[in-house]
Amino acid sequence: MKAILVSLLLLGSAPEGAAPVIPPEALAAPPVADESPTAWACTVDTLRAGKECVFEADLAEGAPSDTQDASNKKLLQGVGRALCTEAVGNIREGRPDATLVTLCERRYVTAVDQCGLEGTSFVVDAKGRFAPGARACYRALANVLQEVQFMATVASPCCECAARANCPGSADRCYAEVSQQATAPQTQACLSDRCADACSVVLPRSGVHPSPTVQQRNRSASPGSASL
Amino acid sequence: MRRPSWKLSTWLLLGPLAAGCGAAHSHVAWSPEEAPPEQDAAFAARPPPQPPAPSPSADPKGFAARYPHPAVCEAAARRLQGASRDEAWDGLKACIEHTPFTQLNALLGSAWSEELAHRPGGAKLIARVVAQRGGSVMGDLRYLQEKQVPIFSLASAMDRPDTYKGRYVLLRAQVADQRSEGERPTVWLVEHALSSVQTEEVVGYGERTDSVTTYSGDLSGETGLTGPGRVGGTVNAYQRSGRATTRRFVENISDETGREALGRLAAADPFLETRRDYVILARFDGVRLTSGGAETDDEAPRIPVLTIVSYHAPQALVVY
Repeated sequence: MKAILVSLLLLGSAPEGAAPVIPPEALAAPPVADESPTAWACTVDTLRAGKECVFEADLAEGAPSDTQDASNKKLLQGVGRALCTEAVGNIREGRPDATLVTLCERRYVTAVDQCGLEGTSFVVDAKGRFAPGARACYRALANVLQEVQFMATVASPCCECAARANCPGSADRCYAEVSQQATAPQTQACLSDRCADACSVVLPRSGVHPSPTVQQRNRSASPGSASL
Repeated sequence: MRRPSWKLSTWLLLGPLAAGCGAAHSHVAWSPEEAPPEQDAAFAARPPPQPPAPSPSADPKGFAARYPHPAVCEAAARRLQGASRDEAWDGLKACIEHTPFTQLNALLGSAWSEELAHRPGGAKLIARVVAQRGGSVMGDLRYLQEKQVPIFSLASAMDRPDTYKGRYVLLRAQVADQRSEGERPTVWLVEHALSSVQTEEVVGYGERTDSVTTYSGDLSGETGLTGPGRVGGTVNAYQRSGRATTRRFVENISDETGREALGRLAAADPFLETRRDYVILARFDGVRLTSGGAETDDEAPRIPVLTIVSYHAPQALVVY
């Protein structure tokens, strides 16, 4: 009887390792998830190229820290000039536009304010992948680059001409207004007058009748001309 | 992760014929030793009995080739369970991998439930059979659910990511794009679902008759009451009749469900082609925020991330 009791006790206390091992791929095995980042992670490269990506990184969140917050901002500010120069240069096929690059850098610095993440984690991991919490930061930076690329496409030649022709409105205002087709009447008149070719894409064609150009005024003032 | 080596068309032709034969004379094929001795004497001139089937572990192709129909092959594999469960499992794998096996019912029956749950390749075998049945994943998943097989849909996993994290999902999908980081590429998958459309097509000879009849006339004359007069006119009649025999066709079409996923691969795989449907078995690794879409994180689109375990090209004919 004692022997039976002892053997029952031994059976009851048998180590768990004695149970048959289920391979991890088996349907009966416990769930296994791979939390590591994929090749679609958001990085500075995807930011530069404007590609679709997902937010995943090898990072752990911690307590808020001012030092980390400042460090995150500083890290991204460091690449601002390179990103802005490239964004403008790519659109203009290598031709520089210092004014637009400066404008881009100013806007970029403002956007970087959203990149501190309150110091709860690094903004990017060791492989340059943006943290899952950095989506707002990433989108703010991406918007700046996208807007600047748009300005480089539609406003650069016009605003360069406007600066040379001493049209009213600072250079920054010109880029913003021209790309949004919201130029002040005085500026618009100047652009139509002195930069008609460079600004032909952005100047409104119908509805608003720009004041006649200098040449047109001269022509209409000359005596004896007539046309049907 | 390999495509089947057998030719479907040959099996489709031979399969049903052989199945009927196998079912009708199964006692001859399965237990020849039970034949009475008188019959042996009477048919002494018969060719010698076939040698025993090769071991499925040693020669899986040879084992599957012995049986005229996948169902008979599966039954033979099942009979091996008494002697060796490993041999029986290898036999089942041989039947599925080397014949157009579509009997999901037999696979999910009680005979194989223990093996499917505890062997490492159980989930892959189920995915392969679903592909061989035509890849109607939504329909077959319902059957898996009934049998309490823990393989789920992508839709369920996306609805409750925490519940399904790490579990198997099965989807029909196409590869849209691929990016690589080091040795491990990740593909962008677009989920598809099968649906059917009905069309009517003209078959055989058709008839069409067109006839045009024109009547015209001119009458002139004079009456005492009205004086001289003239009446003229034309009447045109056009008639068209046709007769054709049409046949109703129902075609399977694969269409996007609107769901997308990222699928991790163990290594670059040139056989996983773009713009082609696959039945994909994968582990669900959770969801990630994407860069596009709404401004706020709460409303931002999320994409599921999967680890692809196996993929199989679905057959064109769907088994319901």
